[in-house]
Order: sequence, then structure tokens, then C-alpha cells
Amino acid sequence: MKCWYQGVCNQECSESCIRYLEMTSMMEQSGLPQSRWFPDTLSPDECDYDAFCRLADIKDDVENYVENAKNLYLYSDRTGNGKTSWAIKLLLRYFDRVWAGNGFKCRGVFVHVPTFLSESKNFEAMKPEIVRLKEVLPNVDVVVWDDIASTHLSNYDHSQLITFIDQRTLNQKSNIYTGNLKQAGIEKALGARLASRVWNASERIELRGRDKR
Amino acid sequence: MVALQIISKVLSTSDNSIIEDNLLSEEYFVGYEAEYEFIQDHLRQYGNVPDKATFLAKFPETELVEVTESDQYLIDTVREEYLYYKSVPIIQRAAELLKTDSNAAAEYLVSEMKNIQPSYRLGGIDIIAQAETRFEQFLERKEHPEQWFFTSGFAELDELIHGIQRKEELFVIFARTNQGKSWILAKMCEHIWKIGFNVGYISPEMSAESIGYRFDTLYEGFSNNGLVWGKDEIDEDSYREYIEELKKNDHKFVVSTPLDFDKKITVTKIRNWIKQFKLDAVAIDGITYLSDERYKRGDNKTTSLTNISEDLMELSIEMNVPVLVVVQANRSGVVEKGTNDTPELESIRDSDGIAHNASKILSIHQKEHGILNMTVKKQRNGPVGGKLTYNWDINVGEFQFVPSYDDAEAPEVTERKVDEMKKKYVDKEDVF
Repeated sequence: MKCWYQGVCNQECSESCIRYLEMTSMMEQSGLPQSRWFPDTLSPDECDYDAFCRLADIKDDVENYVENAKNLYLYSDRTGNGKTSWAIKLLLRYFDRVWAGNGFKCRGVFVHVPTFLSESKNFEAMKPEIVRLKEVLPNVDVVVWDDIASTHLSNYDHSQLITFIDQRTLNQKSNIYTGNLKQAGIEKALGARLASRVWNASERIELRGRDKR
Repeated sequence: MVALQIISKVLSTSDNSIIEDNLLSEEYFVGYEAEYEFIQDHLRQYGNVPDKATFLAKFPETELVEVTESDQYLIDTVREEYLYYKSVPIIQRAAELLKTDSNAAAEYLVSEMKNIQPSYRLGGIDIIAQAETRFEQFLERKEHPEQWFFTSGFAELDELIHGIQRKEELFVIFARTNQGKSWILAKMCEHIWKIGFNVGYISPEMSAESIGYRFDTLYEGFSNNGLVWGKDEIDEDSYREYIEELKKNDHKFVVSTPLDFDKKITVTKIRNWIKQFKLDAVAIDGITYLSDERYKRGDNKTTSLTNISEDLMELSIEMNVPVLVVVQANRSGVVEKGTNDTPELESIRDSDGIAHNASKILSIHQKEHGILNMTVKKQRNGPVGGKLTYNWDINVGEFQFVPSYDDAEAPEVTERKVDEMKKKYVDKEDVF
């Protein structure tokens, strides 16, 4: 596979390149689909200029952001204007910052919430990746919870989410949420307790730009 | 008769010291075992030897005799009788074996005879009187560590375990199947050979040629697939040149298979093998392929492996060679995928005794293809729990250390190594 740093790195490419191996290992363990392993180039609409600047600041200091267990809620009532891409960008930048000395550990995961909740209910043949994901969720440095309030939550879904998010809060771990809802909508969709954790405990950034897909 | 004489003497003098001081057990009192046991029980229970009346009330048929012989005569005679009684069945069994297989008979004799030779003196070293020797040895270790330790070929591991001791070292490498433990063993052996010593490698599963190709890969980086499959990627001239250079070395890397041991590998045979090839280090790629020379009917595999590992440690002490041995982990040693864990000691297959007798234990887990985690699970003279990560390129036999904050080194050392690694990578621009 093509290396992320090909063309910009001063080292000769080899299969035993530690940076390549560490990055690949983190990507594989993150649950990110391979098509998202490379960052998208995003250009803001004028209305999102400030939001992009704030996100760029977070990206520049992502290691401290994660280390200090900060949370981000990135939302928009429009689709296709870069919420998920930005969340992944932050995750990838975090990998880029921590690969050295990582020892092939899992440092961050990407969870598409509707898929995760649906797969979690497949008790008879739960996919191994879901089993592993549940094991790492409480303690991994950072989790991207993508599309967190986009579907109706059953009681079981709610208990699953609140358990993991509570555990992460107790363990002082960082979360990046993406969603379509503002405060009132999120309370309605997630319930007061979960909404409080996602909305109140996060730095909130809204994107207003048009759909670019 | 002499057994009766000793019993009579003990009863007439009310003194058990002739038995105690000369380590006479029940086995020495053939035909008088019950009498011996009665006296010893009485002594343990009441603190004195029973008097004659008590004894005769229990054993009215026993006719005690008057003893005028010296203690020394009685002891020499009873020991000679003991040796006779113990030897007869062994000689008879050896004679039976001789009819069909003289090698097996000789081996049986060698292994059994040493067990029946009674020990008349108790060993021990006065460490106070020996203090000067100890100090001199310390100075030697300090000034000439190479005479006491081999480096292992893994520099970072050596920092944790101070290398491989040249004696009193049963070094166990254990993992589940297909994790790279045999390669690690081969790498250590190749390194010991490279620094100038004779190495013996017992390979129960692979031929000497296959191990030879592994050696070439580890030593010179030739593609192992290329060598084994005879592929064009190996430059014939380079390989020829390497072989010519290799032949100039006069120290040995001896590979033996079970066929070289008449299909039965025993510690006694390994002892002879060490002497024959003047080996400085011994490697065994699978402890379960060894036969237990102390096997008794009814012994299970656990007992046998405990005996074998004990005998290997004794061999190391006796012959001044380290014994490196590969051991399988059982199913409980399966490590959760994606973790940096390695199998625990309780996962050693078939025997706790191996862990008990080993001086150092290295647990291995291949986390993902080519990423090896090593953990020091036991070492008698140092800390345990130290973890190391290596990137292993199996085809060219290269083990590249990957510094990680999980390593056992001091944090500042890890920090320095991580920084050094990071600094190697200079990017023209940010990618992410």
C-alpha cells in the first residue's frame, strides 16, 4: 500500500519502516475503512471559515487535546459539509503525532454509531471486530462517534451508548462526536442524560456550509 | 546379617547415631524394614530408642545379637550389601537389553547406576570461608564479562537480562505455535557462534540443511525463501563468496537431529555430544522431544518434563554451558489479538516444573505479521516483566528493535530512543 508520507519523507521507503508499520497498525486497529485512511482536502464556505479555523487549532494541538480528555461535538443540520471528514482528519493527525514509541497499540477508533448499535444487537453472531471494539472503547485514547443522534435509540441502544461514554468520562478519555442536531434535538434523540454528556461536556462547533458531495 | 547387627547395636546402646550419622534409610535394612521403621517411629514419637523389652514385645521372633564389630565395619558392610541389592535388578535388566540393543543397554546402565550410588557425605560450601573466591570471581566478571556471559544477539534484551550466563543457565523461550520462537533460538545461536564459540543445535523437526539456510539468512541476510526454494533472487556469486568465507572459520555450529541420537534424545547423550564437539552452548528446539531417563512406570508427562528440565539445569552446571530450550505454550497461552501481552508462565504446556527449573524465561507473542513482543517472565538475578518489541523480517532474518513507551527500560532511556527515531524522519510538509 502507498505510504502516507511518500514524496514528503526523507527516508528511503521500505517494508520495515517503523513509521509505516506503526501508522498501518493504528489505522487497522481504528476500524476506519481503508478508503478513509488518507485525509480529505477541505475548503470552507465563507460561513464556515471561523469553524475551520477553530478546527485547525484543535488539529495543531491534537495531542494535548486528547491527553487532556477534551470532547468535541461537531454538528450541522446539513449533510456533506465535512463533519465526518474533519473528525477523521483529527484522528489521523493524532496518529501522526503519536506513532513514535507507540509499540503497535490501538490509540484511536472510529465508530459509525448507527452501524455499531445495529451490529451490537447481533448477539448470536457478533462480528469479531465489534467484540474487539467493545473491549477497547472504555480505554482507547480517542473515539470518533460518527452520526451519534441520527437514528432513534431503543432502550438497549441508549444503555450501550451511555455505558461506554460514561466509562470513557470516568477514565478521562477524549471523544469526538459528529451529529445533525442542536441542543433541543439532541436531548430529544438521546435523552437528557446522554445529551448532557455529549452537548454540555463538549466544545461545540457548528458547520453551516453547503453539501459538497 | 549386618542389618540385624546394626539394629542390635542401636538397641543395646540406646543410641541411634550410627543410623543417623551415616544416612542409613529403610532400604539398607533388607529383611528388617519393619524393625527399622519401629525404632525410628519410636524415636520420633518418644524421643528415645525403644528398650529391648519394648522391641521384643513387638518382634518376638527377632533374635538380637551381641555386636563387637566396629561401627566402621558395620557401615562399610551394610553399604556394600545395599549396592549389591540395588545393582542386581539393574544389571539383570541391562543384560536383557544387551541381547537386542547394546546401545540401549549401555545408556540404561549409565543413567541408572548414578542413581543407586549412595551419597555418604552431604555436600555444602561454607560461603564464609569461600568469600575470597567469590570476590575474585566478581572481579573476573567485571573485567572479563565475555568469560561469564554470552550476548544474546538482541542488544536491548541483554540490557534487561545481562545476556546468557555461560553456566547454570536453563534459558526457556516459550510461545504458542508459529510465533517465531525457533527463529529467535536460531538467532541467539547464530550470534553466539558469530562471537567465536562452538554451538550445538538439536533440531527435532528440521533438517541440518534447513537450519543451515536459516543460519545463512540470519548471518548474511540472504532471503530465506530464495535459499530454500532455489530462486534467482539469490545472487549465486555472492552466495558462493559467502560460503568460501564461512568455511574459513574453525569453530563449529553443530546441528543434530533425533536420528543422530538414535531417535532417542536423552540428557546423558547430550552430555556426550557436548564433550564430543567441545560445545560452548546448547540449543534444543523443543523440550518435548527429549526422553526422561528417570522415567518410572506410572510417571505422567508433567513428571517427565520436570525431570528433564531438572537434568538440563544440572547439565548446564556440570558442563559449564548454557542450555537454551524452546517450549510450547498451551491453549491458555493464546493472547488476545491486538494486545501487547505475551503468554504467562502457567501456560507452559504440560509442566510447571520447566518454569521452576529455568533460570530465565522469555515469552514471545507475534502481535501481527512481523511484530514480535517479548517479555522476560523469569530471571533469577534480575527484574521480570520487561517488555520489548521487535519488527521481524522473517525473509532476511532481521530483528529491528522498535522503541515503545511500554518498554521496560528507564523512561528517560525510552524517551531518548523514541526521540532519536522520530528525528530520523524529516517531512517536507505535514501530511495530515
